[in-house]
Amino acid sequence: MRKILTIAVREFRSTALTKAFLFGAVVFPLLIWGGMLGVSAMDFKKPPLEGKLVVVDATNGSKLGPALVQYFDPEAQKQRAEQAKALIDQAAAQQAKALGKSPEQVKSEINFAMSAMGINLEPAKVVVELVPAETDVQSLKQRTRTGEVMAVVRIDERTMALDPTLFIPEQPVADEDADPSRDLRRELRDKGGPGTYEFIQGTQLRPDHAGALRQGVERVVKDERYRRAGVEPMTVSALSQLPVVARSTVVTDTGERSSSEGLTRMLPFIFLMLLYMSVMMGGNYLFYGTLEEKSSRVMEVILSAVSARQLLIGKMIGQGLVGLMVMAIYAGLGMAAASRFNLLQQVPMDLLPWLLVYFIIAYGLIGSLMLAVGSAVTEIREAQSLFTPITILIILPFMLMIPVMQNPGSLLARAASFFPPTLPYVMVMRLSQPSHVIPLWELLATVLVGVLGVIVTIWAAAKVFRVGVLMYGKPPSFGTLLKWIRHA
Amino acid sequence: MSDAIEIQGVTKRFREKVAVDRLDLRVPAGSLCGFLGPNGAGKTTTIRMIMSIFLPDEGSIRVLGRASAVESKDRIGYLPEERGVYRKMKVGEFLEYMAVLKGVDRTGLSAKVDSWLERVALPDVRKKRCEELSKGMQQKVQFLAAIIHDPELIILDEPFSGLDPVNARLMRALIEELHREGRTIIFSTHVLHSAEQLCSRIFMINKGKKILDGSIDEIRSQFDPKTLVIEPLEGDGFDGAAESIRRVAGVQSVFHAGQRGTLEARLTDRADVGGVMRDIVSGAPVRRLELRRATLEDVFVHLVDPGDSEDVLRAMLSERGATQGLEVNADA
Repeated sequence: MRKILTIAVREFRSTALTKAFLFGAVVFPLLIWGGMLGVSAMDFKKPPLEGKLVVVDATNGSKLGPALVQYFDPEAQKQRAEQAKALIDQAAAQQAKALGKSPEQVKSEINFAMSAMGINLEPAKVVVELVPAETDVQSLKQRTRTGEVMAVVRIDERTMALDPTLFIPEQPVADEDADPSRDLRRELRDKGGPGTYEFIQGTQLRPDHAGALRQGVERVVKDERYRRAGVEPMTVSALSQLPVVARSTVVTDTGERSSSEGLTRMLPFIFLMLLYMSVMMGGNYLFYGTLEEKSSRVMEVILSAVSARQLLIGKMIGQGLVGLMVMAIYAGLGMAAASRFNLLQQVPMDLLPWLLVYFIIAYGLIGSLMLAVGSAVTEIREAQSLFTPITILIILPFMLMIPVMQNPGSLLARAASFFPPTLPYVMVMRLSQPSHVIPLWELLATVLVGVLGVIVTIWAAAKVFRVGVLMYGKPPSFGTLLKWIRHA
Repeated sequence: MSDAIEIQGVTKRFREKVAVDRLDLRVPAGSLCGFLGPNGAGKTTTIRMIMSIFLPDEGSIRVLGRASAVESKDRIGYLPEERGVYRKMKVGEFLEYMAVLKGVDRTGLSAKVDSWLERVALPDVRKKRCEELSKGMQQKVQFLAAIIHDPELIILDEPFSGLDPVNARLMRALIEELHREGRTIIFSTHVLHSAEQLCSRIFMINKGKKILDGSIDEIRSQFDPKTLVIEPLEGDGFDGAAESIRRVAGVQSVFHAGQRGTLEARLTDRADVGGVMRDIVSGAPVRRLELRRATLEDVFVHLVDPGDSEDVLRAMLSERGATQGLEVNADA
């Protein structure tokens, strides 16, 4: 046992405590994570919107120019910000009650989300310059080029003359490809048809500032449309803020539980990748490590001190710990990200022990196969043909991913839960689906089948290992390996 | 004295090929034994069976009084023929790792590694990675890895291969030293000269069968061909000298030796060596006259059919190839 542990410790140290590994598996993800935070933190300190907006109002009655002046009036902006804050407070209080958190906590989370989304409640200092309707737009373009003017907006009756059959939804549709108004918007923009206005800007204007200016124009244009239609704009905005919320409930054999959207839809995929990455990491190191021991001829030296079985078990434990460490790092980073974006309560913590169990099964299977291949060949390119069957086993879970995610209770999903090479991945995907419940007997049965599969695979791998480690020369075929398993 | 290794009727087959055939072998404790044989004779297979890396198909092997080496691995030091180091590991770490694997306690291990590195003239390599060492230095590190745990029994498979003369001498000195400390040592080798200098005991196998087993002196007397080497004085006529020697009583045959200007006289089994030598000197003046001792090389060549040794075969083939090449050149 002491020898096995000594080998495991060396395997772990020689893999996990190298600069290359620390950089690849630890520093790199941390850098990406830190970089993402850093960039978003930098973005929060964007410069305030300040400058001159030239408005050419050619509409009948010329009401839009003054409306824009009013829109960017500091007093009006302050009023809007207060309204928004009041709304946030109200929403925060509601959510705090629902989640059992303090309102301050929820509010800080909302503020964070808003700033992350680029919603800015800071007042903008926009000077609106109204110019006569007949002013030449070309001369105004020159002023944007020098940067003296942020942008020039020209609104006329074409903007207002809306064909009533053209309906453009106010809120963007979740699936952009399916949005019927998208092509319409593009057509209007390109042809300058009804509903369009001119927006001329220089290169210095930041996209978010341009967006804020356009938002203002859109607001006053819409308000004017409401007014022309005989509706009070305030009424429209008040009505559109009333919530419509779906309360979804999933009915299961064992009762009911609420489901939430968002992160949970991604969970099976996230857990599959987590399991796959850590298993492959450990398995790869097992393959390369064994191959190196063989090609550097250190194998027989080690076998003079320990038996082939001790070496095999020690190596598997050591690299298994590497795989687990990788999994812990990525899971930890994932949870840190989830908590940062207030999604932590959607991460099913009760799944983590099962993740460990299925990691052991998946790693035991793939790891021992990779180890056997590593021990059978002397050079990497000899391993190519032996890897083909393993590659198929590795791809299978991904082929099953979509069907299992769409219907975790299907016959296919349940059958794949009893086939050792796909079992751990499919089970993790099924377990991480909140709307799917797996009976306990099925869970335990899959673990039993998985453990039996691992025992058989390790037994076979040990036979190949015992023969292969001292076999140099002609690389064995897959059939030869089977012979070793039968005869050794 | 008890036996460190006791091999009885051991046979090992790989597919149809019999690598070791009903081998019996006893290695007395405290002896220094040479294990000889042409390439492919079954030496490495036998050693691997002693180490329980291969299991024999038939027969039994007792090592250090146990039924298998697995039970006494920590008391055996083994330098395999296929040997290497972890290239990325530091020399000191590698040696400590091997020692711990063989059950050595960590306390004082570091000092022990240092003192051994000093002894093999590698004082400053401890912190270096194994891949930074030259091949000869790596060989010495591998040797240390085999003996770092003070084993009672040391098995060295071709310890001299790849060593330059200086390091080969150092290796011989270390082996002798370890032997003087009372350890049992077996080494296989092609270098018959080393075996002759070092060993108290020799065994030789060929085609998986033992063909020789005994002490050096026993073997020498057994295979002493009783041959005189004669270098006649010039001027007297080489053939005349040969003729006169052939007439001396006790001389069986006279033939030209490989060396230019020397003759070899094979004596009859019962010939009185002193009398024959006196008779030769009185018959014809000679520059040199000596009784040749049997070398292991003689024994080796005598016992091993040239076809048995891959090396000999290969040498013959390459020689023929070279000659053909010369002929082609001459034609051109």
